[in-house]
Amino acid sequence: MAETTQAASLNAALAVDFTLFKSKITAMLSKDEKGIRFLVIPVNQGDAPVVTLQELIDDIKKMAGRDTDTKALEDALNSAAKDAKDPGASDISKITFQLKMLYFYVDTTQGEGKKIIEYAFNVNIITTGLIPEALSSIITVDHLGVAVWNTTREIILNKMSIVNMDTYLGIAAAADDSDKG
Amino acid sequence: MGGREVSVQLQVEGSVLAMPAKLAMGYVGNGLVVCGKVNTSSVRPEEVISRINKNAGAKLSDCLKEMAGLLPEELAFSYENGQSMLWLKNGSNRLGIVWINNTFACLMSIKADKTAERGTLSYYITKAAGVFGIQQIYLYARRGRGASLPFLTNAVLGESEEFRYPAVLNDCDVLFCGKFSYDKDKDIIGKFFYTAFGIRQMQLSLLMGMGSQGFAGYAMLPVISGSAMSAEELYFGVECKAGVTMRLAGAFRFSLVPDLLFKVEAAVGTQGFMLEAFAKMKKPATIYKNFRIGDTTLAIGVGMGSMSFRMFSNLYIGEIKAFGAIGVAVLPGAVNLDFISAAITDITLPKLIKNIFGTHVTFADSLDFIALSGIPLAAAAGKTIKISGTDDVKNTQVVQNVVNQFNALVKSDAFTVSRENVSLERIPHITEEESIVLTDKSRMRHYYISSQGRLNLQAQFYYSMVDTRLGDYTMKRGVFLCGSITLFKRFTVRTLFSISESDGVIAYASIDRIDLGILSIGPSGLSPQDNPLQYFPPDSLLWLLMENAPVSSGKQSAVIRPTGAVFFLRAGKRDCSFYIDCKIALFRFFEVAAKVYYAGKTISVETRLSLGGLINASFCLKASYADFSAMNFRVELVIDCTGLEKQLKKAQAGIEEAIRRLREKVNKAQGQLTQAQRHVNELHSQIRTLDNKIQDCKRAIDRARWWQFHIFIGKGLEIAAYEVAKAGVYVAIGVANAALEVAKLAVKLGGLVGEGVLRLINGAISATLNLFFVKYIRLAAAASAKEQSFEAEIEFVALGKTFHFTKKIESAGLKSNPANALDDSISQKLQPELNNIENGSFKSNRRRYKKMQCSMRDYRKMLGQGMQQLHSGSSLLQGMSEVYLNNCGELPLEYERYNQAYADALGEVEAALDLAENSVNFASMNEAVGMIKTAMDDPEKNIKDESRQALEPAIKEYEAAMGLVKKMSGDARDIRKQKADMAEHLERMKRTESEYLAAQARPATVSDEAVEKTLNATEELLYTSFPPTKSRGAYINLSRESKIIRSFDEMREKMNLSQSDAVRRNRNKKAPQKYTEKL
Repeated sequence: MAETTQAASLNAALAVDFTLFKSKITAMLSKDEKGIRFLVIPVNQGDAPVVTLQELIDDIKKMAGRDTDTKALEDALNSAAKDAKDPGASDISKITFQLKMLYFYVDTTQGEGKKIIEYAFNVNIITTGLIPEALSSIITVDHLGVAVWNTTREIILNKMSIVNMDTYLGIAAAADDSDKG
Repeated sequence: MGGREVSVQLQVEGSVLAMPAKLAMGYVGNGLVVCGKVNTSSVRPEEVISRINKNAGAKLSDCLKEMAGLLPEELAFSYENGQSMLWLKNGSNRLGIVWINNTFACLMSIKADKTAERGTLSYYITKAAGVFGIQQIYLYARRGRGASLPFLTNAVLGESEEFRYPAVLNDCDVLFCGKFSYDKDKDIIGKFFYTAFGIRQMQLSLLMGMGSQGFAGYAMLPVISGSAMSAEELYFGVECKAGVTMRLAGAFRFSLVPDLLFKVEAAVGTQGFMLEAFAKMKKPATIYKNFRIGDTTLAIGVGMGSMSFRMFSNLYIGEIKAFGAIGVAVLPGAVNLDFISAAITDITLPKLIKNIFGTHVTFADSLDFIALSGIPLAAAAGKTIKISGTDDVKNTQVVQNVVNQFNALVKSDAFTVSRENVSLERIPHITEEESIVLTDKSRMRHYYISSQGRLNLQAQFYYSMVDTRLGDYTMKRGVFLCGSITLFKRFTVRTLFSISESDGVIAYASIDRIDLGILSIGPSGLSPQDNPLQYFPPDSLLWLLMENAPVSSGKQSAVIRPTGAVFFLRAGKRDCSFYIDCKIALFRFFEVAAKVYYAGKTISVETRLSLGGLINASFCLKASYADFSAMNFRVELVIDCTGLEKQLKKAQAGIEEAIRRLREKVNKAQGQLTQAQRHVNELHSQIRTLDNKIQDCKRAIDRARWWQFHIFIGKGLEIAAYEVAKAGVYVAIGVANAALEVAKLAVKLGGLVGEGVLRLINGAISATLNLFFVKYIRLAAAASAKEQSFEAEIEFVALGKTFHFTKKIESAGLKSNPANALDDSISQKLQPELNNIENGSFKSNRRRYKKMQCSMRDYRKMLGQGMQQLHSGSSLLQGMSEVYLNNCGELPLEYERYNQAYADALGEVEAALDLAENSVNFASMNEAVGMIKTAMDDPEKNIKDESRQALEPAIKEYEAAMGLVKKMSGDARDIRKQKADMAEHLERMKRTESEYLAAQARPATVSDEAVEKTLNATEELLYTSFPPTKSRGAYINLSRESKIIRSFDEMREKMNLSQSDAVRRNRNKKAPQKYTEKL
């Protein structure tokens, strides 16, 4: 944990590096006479590492602290794992998570009524083998992705796996409205 | 950059019935988005069915195997913003179906594939196509207007597949396109073409389309190549709309200019035909050395009784780019100009020569006195367009970036552009750095971006009477003209003028500061602290066009001070503004400055007029339009004449000084003349001398004895001569006085003439300054909804007194009668002065007329009579001596003495007569009199009547005196002759007497008879010389002097002599005039 404090009567800056889903995240806070700016963004903009469910639980336990009661969660997961041992059931331990994007930005320095709040969250869940065998002949789900965002910053959106028709068809960007007639 | 709308998306990847599948759904922006894709190629149909139902899969296996080729390999679907799309792919075949806004459209692309697996759809299509030579088929159909062929082509086929068709088919509802390929060795049709046309191989596309516009059928030949030219994408078709039109289109390339690709479109219909050739190239094609040609279009149309000719071209001479376009319509008997346009990048004569010859030419620099360039835009804001030197200006992204910066810079919708209507090209440099030409094809307007990123409008003009298209240029009715001319690198004139239906009227002109001495033009300099541009909105064209160095003054708009005279007018549908700031000075004397603007509903008028700094008038009005309408404004008018007053007073002082010096001169001259006159008047002392001599003669007569009658006569004659001398002296005095009088008047007149002119000027000035002169006026009016007031401040001079007056009239006074209110107040101030006007400075002096004492005519008469007197005296004296000598044998006693005395008297007369001629320098006087007479005839001298009344008689007297002087000269010569005669006579008498003595012819005593004879003869001579019946003025008449007569009688009485009859007769004659005896 790195901490930088700049002693000043009106200005302050704080930076925190932490790891979530094995991804290094940086959080920064700065305050001056104009307002506050707060940013959370992955440090490494390259491919995000994957993390298993167990590793996730361990991370939660580390973050929550030793006194936190995670027993209920562990029991639920263990029960699920036991079920997974039955043939036809999915193996929860094989579920992995990949944090593609965690972005949060607040800026109050632009003046009254011009507060900026941006966020983007994108996590991929590798769910291979999660579907029970009975259904796997019909449908399988190898990968789930969830993305929530309100930002329009290209550098953020390009790191997220946002899909549109062009992505599936592998063709150029959609035509303009003028071409529709 | 902050997003606002929340977007959510869930992505799923997996498999459905063992077929790899992807699905994404969510809310992106404000709309639902669902898209998915299934890949069916990796799984057989029977396996798919088996996964659902093993038994069904087993039973249908054989059938499904047969159908495997018919099923698509990939299937994709999407829903976004009300648009649904289904896309299928099987090998190289595509099918796309779109539903949007109640529109259904589908596009199918089927391609012959020789490698297609047997039993697949591609296999059967390929088989069928092979019969007819079909390589690929496109089928398109739609119902409704929501989706068009270009959109669907782009969505279904993408850029990888090339599907070209004539633009007229863009809006069709149904389209069939078949690509055919024929080879003489491979198919029958190929053999036919080879046999018929000698074509070994040919690729042909047939297109048929139908829509609301009618039917169109085209045949397209992708490439035809020959030795002289080659054709690409050659279309030949028929359109059936209102009539039948045959159309030919294609791209041609000539081997002579291989870089030049001509796109030609020709149409022939029942109404006429049209041919349009458009050469578009990636880079200009070289014609000869530095001469290159760029995009060129030629269009010729022939219709019902008319013909149209249109063309445009881009010509490059080194780094100079010129654009020209013209369109004319030829009607029977008339040629109408539809449009004409030209544009050129910055050019000077040296630059032109250098680019023509490709090298520096020595003498060219001497021709650098004129430069034609464009108008810089947004120079005042200092904004530039950033584009890297390595960017490809044909790249779409680069163009879009430049367009975005351009639009942000120009702001106004009269200039903003879109990417589709903009072309960029780099112009290589020879004399200057590289620049980029930006062409707005939607308005046929040309710009260039310098290497520093500064945006400029090229020098150009544009005129169009029609709305039309030519190539990829769009023309709309209007006029546009802009450019800058720089002369001698010293001053620049910029102008921009535009009229169009959409933008209204835009006019801008600026002239850099010019000072040619007789003419100077520049900024007004009025209210420099006021920045009128703050009233113009940021997207106002004035901000865009104004060129000057901005001076930042803080957060708000920069204070911009124009460097020259500026005129701006914008009158459009949404905006009306006006701005003028200029000053014009003529001969540095007459100056007019104006700063007027109207913008943002604010009106400001500020003008100043100056006449050599003497009279300054300024007018100021500033109000917002709303305030103006609501009568809430203030107006001020100031007229300042203090400068004029100072100048006039200086002039007056100068005039006064001139008058004073003139008077000094005049007084000095007059003093000299007075001195001269004093000298002349001293001649009167000579008269006293002559009077004394006359008295001596009288005493001599009194002393004479009774027998000395000759003394009576001699002395009487002497007296007569002295009287004539006296007259001569008087005449001399009179003549001199006449001359001097004229001289004095001349001097005075000379002074008067000069002084008169000065006085006249001074009088005019005095009248101006003293009678009524306005020194300063300030009028201010203020109005508001509640109150109106008028304030006047005036300082003026009236009747030689200065008045300062201030009056404020409130609304009540304004409503009643403001003119009277003001007038009454001024009159009250002036009334006391007006009442004393009779005692003011309006008196005039009258000159008194002085009459001459004795006229020259009188003098002439006197002299004439005097000369007669002298002649009479001479003849009497001579006769008396002869009589005495003849009768007495001797001359009278003391004859020689009183002969000499008479001669002396004659000498006095001669001297007196000479005196007049020598008393004045008549040569100079004649000249002065001549000048006086000339001055009197000249109306500009403005000689007053009083002066004329003195001058005219004086000049007349002088002229008479001049005549008299001439006579006196003659008389003097006469007298000299008389003296000579008398001297000669005396000598002769003396010789005779000597002869008598020698001949002893003289008797010893004189007999009484001789005495009587002598006495009577002498008295008869007396009466002959001095007739008692004649008057010679005031002169002595010896025959009427009783002393002389009594002397004759006394002698007769003493000697008992008798009178002769002649004597008795003369004595008895009655004299008509009364005579006063002088002896």
